[in-house]
Amino acid sequence: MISILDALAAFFITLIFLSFIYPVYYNSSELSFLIKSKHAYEIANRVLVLSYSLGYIEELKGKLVCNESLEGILNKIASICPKEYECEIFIKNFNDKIISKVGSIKKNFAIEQEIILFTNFEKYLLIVRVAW
Amino acid sequence: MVMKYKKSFLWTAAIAYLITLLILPLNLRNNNEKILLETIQENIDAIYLNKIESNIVFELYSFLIDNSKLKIIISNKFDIQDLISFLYLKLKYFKETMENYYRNKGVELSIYFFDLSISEYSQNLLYNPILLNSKNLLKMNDIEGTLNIFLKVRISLHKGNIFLNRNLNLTILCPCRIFLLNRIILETIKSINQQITLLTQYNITDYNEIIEECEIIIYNTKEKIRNKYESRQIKIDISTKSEVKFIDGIYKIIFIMSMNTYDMCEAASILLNGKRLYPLIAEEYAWLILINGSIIEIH
Repeated sequence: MISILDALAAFFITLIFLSFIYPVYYNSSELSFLIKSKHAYEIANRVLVLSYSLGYIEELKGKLVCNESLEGILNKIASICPKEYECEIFIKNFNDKIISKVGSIKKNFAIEQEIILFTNFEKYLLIVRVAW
Repeated sequence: MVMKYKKSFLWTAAIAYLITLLILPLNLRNNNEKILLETIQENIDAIYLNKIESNIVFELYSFLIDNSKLKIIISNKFDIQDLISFLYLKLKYFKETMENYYRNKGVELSIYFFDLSISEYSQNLLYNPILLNSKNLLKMNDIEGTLNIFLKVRISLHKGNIFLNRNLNLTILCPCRIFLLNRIILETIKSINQQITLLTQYNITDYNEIIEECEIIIYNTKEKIRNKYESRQIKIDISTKSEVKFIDGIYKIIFIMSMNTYDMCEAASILLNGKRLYPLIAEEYAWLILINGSIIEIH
């Protein structure tokens, strides 16, 4: 017959044993989140690099210098973003003040990529947020 | 009592064995997931570092062009050494801004600039079409006398386990035809000088007549040069002034010509305080004309 003492002893010794071999469990949702983040980062990067190579950043800087409305050019940049993703594009100065913004994100998760822009006498941050 | 402990030990061993059997495949899967997660995180870091590199290269390209144009517009001079010193100073600001900003984002970034040099455009030079298009310069056709900037850049980036080191040789076409503007000035001065020197062969005794002749020469030369370069969006402005002194029976005429040449191409211009400004090279040239009776000396 196994007494309560036997069972308790077995239970605690098993616990001690398990504490040595118990692995750190990774939630598969964490993995899926990271994979989706990676895609979103790639998209944000592509939006920024294409904006440069298509001359959109140059146009944006011209409008910043002239104090013109930035909505049109920011929409052009946002149009590079694939339709399957939600994108938000905004421009900030180095005092963290948002100068202009297009697009809106309703989804819960979003990543952001930013670049520094230099004009003749100022510097700005162009930020692309991508959500999935 | 001994039997009891023996039994409990056997039970424990049995349970532990069963659990190990159950956990082992889970543990293996988990290890794979751990490696996968680390790899994805490293991929994300690599994407971030690539973005920083693109940001540096594209901005640097634009930064050097804009600051070269700004310097030429402010100084109005054809002084390559002065321009190089100015650009080095600006590059220091560029480096500090980039390094400080990205350091706050957890990236170790070091940028080194060296061997900055400036020359005139030559057909043998190769330009990156993507960088050219980023400044809308791909369609530029009249690039004779344009400014060329060469710069070596070393970028070192480090985030997490990811390192990125790049050595770049940048060849930058600055759409500002200052070499052409300088040549136009030299060509104009040479032509005017030759014509004014010929005045010694004429029999002119009146200083007013000499000044008038000089002004006619300058006007005609200016019109000739203007017609030659107008279609290439080059603007030429010339103004003259003269000073006459009568000392010891000799008329001393100091004839001064100020010449401004502008590159009126829109790609060469910059916007400053809402105004569009064009690069300009200014030069002043003076002649000393001595009239002693019917003898004219020109220096």
